[in-house]
Amino acid sequence: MAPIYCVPLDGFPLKILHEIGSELGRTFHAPVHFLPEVDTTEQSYDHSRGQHNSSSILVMLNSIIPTDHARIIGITTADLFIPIFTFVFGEAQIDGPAAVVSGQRLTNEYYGMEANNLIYYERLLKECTHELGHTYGLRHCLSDGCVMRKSTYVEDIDFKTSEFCPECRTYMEAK
Amino acid sequence: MKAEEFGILIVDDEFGVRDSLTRWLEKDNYRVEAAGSAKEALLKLDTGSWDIALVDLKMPGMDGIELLQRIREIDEQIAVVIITAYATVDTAVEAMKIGAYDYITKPVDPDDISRLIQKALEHQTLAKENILLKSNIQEMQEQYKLIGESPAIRKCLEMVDTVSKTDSTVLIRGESGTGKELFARAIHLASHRRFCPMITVNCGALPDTLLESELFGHEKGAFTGAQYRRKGRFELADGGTIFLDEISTISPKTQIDLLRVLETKQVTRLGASKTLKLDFRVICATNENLESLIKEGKFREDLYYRMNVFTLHVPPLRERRSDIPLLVEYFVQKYVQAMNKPVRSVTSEAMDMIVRYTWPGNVRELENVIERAMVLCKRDRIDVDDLPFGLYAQVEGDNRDSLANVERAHILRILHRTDWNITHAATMLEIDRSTLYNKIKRYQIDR
Repeated sequence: MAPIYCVPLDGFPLKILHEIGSELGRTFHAPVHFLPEVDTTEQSYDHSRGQHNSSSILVMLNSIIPTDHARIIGITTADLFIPIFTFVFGEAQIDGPAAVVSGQRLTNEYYGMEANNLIYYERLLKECTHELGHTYGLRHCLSDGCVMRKSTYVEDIDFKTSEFCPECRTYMEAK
Repeated sequence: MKAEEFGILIVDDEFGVRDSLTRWLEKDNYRVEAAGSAKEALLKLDTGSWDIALVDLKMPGMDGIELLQRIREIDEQIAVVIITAYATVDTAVEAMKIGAYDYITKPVDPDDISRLIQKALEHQTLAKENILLKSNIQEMQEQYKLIGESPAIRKCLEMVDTVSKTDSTVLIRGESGTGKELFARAIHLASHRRFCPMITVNCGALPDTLLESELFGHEKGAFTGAQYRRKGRFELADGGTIFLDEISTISPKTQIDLLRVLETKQVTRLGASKTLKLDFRVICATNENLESLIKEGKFREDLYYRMNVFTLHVPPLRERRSDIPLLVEYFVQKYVQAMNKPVRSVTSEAMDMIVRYTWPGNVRELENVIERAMVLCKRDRIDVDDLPFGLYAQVEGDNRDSLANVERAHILRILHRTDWNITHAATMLEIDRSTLYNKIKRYQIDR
């Protein structure tokens, strides 16, 4: 399997990035490399919305990917949007190389609840696996619990597991 | 239906919106395409099949409202969702009035758009099912079409047409096998009730106690063996038609209950305290003389008058002989398809015999005779041979039983059986070949 490059965006904590990256390497059976931090503010920050445009970040990630056929995932704490939506947890190119995930709306504090690092880490891992799954060509899955199931609320993320369902796993193994 | 079977067209002049929305919807497996202008969208509408169009309200050139109107002209089934900003919500509401399915205000919550798309697609699926069911009903109308051009049947068809536009109770009278149920179905399918069921109850086929629970339904525990609540036939016919065949056979007790139901259009299930208000049309049928039954005290006069709002007399087949060739042709075609046999028609001798027969069993008997003949027929036309002997024996007419006719038919049958081998046929008939030739000539028998 081609390597996965993990990029910390806009000051995302490196410790969590490394933990998530290692886990992604195990899930996708791919070597993981970590790239230096990138500031996306100039390229993706929308002053009128106070959020980062995830599509612009994908363009930027495409421009820094070091090798062909590799995957690249940027993780940020900034809030992401695509033009028509109020927010997105992340975005990815189907069968493309790039994905981006935001941790901002994955914390308990964002919803006025007590911080819980374990829950935050689990949500982040699920979203990174989900978005990277799209870069390998997987679409949204209807199976309960499959990591590729669509999540529009944080509760949806908690409901699913960080694993692929047998059908999605078969697809990934054939890649 | 699977997600990939649905087509979504995104129309927005802003690249960022259509690109990100396309990517978002593709992840749900939908077939998604985007157009940067109304003009481009119209081209895609011309060449592709779409279930949902997400249309931006404000676009240079043709705006979303005008595009919506054009889409309505091209395909009124497409669910058009207008994308708008807060400032133009009023216009979006206007768009709803001219046929938009819904509108969304930018920026929208991802969950809202997911639910909206799902709802629109469910709506589309139902609309498609609805179209399919309506076409099925049209097919049914074809299937149950009444065959005939005789004055007697034309009069009946005119009455069917008249009565189908009303909700009046109809009493269909006619001999057994004349097609009373077919007429009932024709009335139902021509009425506004055709999209609801027509429930048929053969009153003669059920014992009285069963008929009561069959018609009115029962509650759980209403009687021994009533383990579940069950809807009656009147309830099942709600919105449609109930056809009560062989109405003369019902008991005096059920006659009273039926009279009340016909008068009030209310039904109480056996063992229930609640009364149900229903909407159904009643068509009854009988092959008996109800007036005589009333005189004998076997049928209630008040129920007779309640049922007899409109009476349709279905003529016996012998009173519409001119329809017989049409019916024969119809049944031959019907069984050609069912049996996959290369039979094209009926010989003139066989048709002559069929037309002259008395048909005591009416159309039902005719259909059975044709079905039997189709099974037996080994050539491309049904011939006298293929018809039952009883039919031959009972053919009407003053000279049908003459010796000459019997001889002609017998020679014809033997010729068919021997495939026109004159020597073989003459041997079977125990006459010489020249005699057979003379008889063929005299009786004008053609191959």
